[in-house]
Amino acid sequence: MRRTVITACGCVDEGGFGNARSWTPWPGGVPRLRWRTFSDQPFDRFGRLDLLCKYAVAAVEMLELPPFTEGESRPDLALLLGSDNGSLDTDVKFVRSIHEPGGASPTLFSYTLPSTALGEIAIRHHITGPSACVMAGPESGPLALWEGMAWVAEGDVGGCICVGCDAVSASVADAPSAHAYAFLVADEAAVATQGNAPLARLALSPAPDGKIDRPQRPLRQLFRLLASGGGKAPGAALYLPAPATLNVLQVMTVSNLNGRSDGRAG
Amino acid sequence: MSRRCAIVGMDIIAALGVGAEAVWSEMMRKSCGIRPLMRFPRGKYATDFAAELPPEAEGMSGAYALAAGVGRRLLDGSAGGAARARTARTGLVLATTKAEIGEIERLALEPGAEVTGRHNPYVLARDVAKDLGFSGPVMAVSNACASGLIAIVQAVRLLRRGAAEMMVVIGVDVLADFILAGFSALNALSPRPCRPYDAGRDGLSLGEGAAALLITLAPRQEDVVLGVVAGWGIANDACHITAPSRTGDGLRAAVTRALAAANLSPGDIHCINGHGTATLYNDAMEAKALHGVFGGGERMPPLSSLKGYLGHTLGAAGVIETVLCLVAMRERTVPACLGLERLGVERPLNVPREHLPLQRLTRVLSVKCGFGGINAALVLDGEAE
Amino acid sequence: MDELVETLKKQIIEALSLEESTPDDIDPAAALFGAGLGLDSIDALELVVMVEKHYGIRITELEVGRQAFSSVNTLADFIRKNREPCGESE
Repeated sequence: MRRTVITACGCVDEGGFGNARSWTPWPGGVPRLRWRTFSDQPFDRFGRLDLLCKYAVAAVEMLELPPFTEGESRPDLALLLGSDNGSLDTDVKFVRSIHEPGGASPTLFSYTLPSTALGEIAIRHHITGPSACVMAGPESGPLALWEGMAWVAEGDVGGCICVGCDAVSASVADAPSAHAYAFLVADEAAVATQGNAPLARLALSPAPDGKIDRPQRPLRQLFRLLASGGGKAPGAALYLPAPATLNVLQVMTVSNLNGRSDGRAG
Repeated sequence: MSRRCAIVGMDIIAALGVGAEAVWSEMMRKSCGIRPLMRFPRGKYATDFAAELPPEAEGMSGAYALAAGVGRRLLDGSAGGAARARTARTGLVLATTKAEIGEIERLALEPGAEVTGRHNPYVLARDVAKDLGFSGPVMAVSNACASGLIAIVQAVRLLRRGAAEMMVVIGVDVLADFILAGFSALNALSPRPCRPYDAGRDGLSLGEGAAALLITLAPRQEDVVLGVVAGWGIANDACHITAPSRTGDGLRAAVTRALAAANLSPGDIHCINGHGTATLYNDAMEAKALHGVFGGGERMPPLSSLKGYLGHTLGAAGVIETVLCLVAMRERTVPACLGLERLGVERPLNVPREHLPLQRLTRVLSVKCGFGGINAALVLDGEAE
Repeated sequence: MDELVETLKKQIIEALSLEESTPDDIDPAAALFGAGLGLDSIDALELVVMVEKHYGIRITELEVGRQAFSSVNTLADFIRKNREPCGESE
């Protein structure tokens, strides 16, 4: 089993957006997402993406993956999306479009699959490795991280982008919400040879005595640990129990390696 | 211990019948399950044909009833493994694109409608697992038309990690106005039963159904091993969100990875279960990709698509068609590619128009391609180790 | 100024969610597909829906659509030729 690390993180949620380097709070409420908020690179079709894809693509943009050259692809990089509601927002909008003048919208229909977000991310970053959308209710995001770590540890791929993303708008839910957290999990040895400094180390261990405290919004907490350097000295850790649906008594320990001596909090 | 997982149980409910034997025997009669619409209005969509569930399946209406139904049939099966699944630590991976899609329609059109929540693939999986009494890991996989194969892969991963002793994989999708209207809007439907790889192919036919597989890492004496998961490969086209890549590179990469994982070379494969949806672009891309791996001409193993019998069963396809691959291996017969009259793809392929008996049919490659540019390939091996 | 052309530009921007484009950005004589706006096959299908929704014209032949959608100008010509004679104002 390979040792794994997290080398990058990204977040777009109700508070703002950012990564390990910087954080930008939204000045007012959460705005309609616009591409130029996240990147200088052109992406004319961002407007066409549905809400789920916009959040997922923006969070992955925050990872600041190295640019690729034309014709290059990334076969050794996997993509995992975990989403509770998946494409529900677009599903509902699509059904309504069937009954509107002009009829069913082909564009909306293309987005009635959460795996379309995988496609949008893969196209944007030329990722040709394995991908999957996994669903485990509210723990879908943690499941994506859990699986991503396993895929790398088991030697299937050298790296995995794990995205926990959920987006439902007011037209669909009483309590609209949208957030996306992205983490790049990689093989520690490969990262070391590239000379990069990872943000955190991951390790699995049996859960102590069967009773595990489940953090609220674990991916958000994980992002804050990494982005702020934990606000504490290196070595601060977050304990993430295995998603309950896996029925395994294991804990993932995320040990922060990105300490800040100024103790700045995120 | 071997890392190759054994499939020790299977069942299927689809347009041609309930149970693997019923479906296979209809296929051997070259019955076409794609028929004039019964539950949906004719003249409304881009087609009046679909492969709806037969009258025998009438008691199982909706994704939950179908998934739980096929799961119960799997466990009621007489093979020893099925009995053990009830008491062992057994988990479930559910493959679906739209789960209980009728509830999505109600949520959209009837504000305040009461729903079970099974429009959410995980809730559907959780409820089915509870119904079947499983205590192991439970999750749903939603990867468009590649969901079924990816769910099988995920189940194998969980078994290898020791997260469960046995895993059940269920694939399910049901037809709805949502699906018929959507594929009509994409111009993807044939107005008549589909014709995979045919020169005159003009789109896909939709289908519905469910299938289940019982998989274990350590089969016992009393198990009937139907086949072994020898390897897989999954790769993204990174090209377009609905159209397949023109080059077929993604599918080619998936197949190459699957063969490498199975420690096989292309010449070791006895037959290929294609994706073969009968759209202009999918079949062309598939031909390029498979020809690129297998070389074309005499060396090409026979390739067949099952879409002409059962339609495109979307998220369930990977599991439904794996069940039929296992039967084909047992019967040593490659089913005819129903709907094909004249081959019309840009690369030479070996697609039988009549059922093809083989001396040896133990190594099958199955491929599935989904929206989002996802390509999945699975190698099944019928030989005991 | 051709009002139908200007209206079509706005309707195209709305139908295809071209959020970063304004009507002035769209050259009515330029090719809509290929380079330029970066439209693809799904967008073509969405334009079919848009034309039916706003002008009541159903495009059922692929070739008819392909010709009509060459540019905003050809689309305007197509609509003028095929729309219902009474009812809609520009």
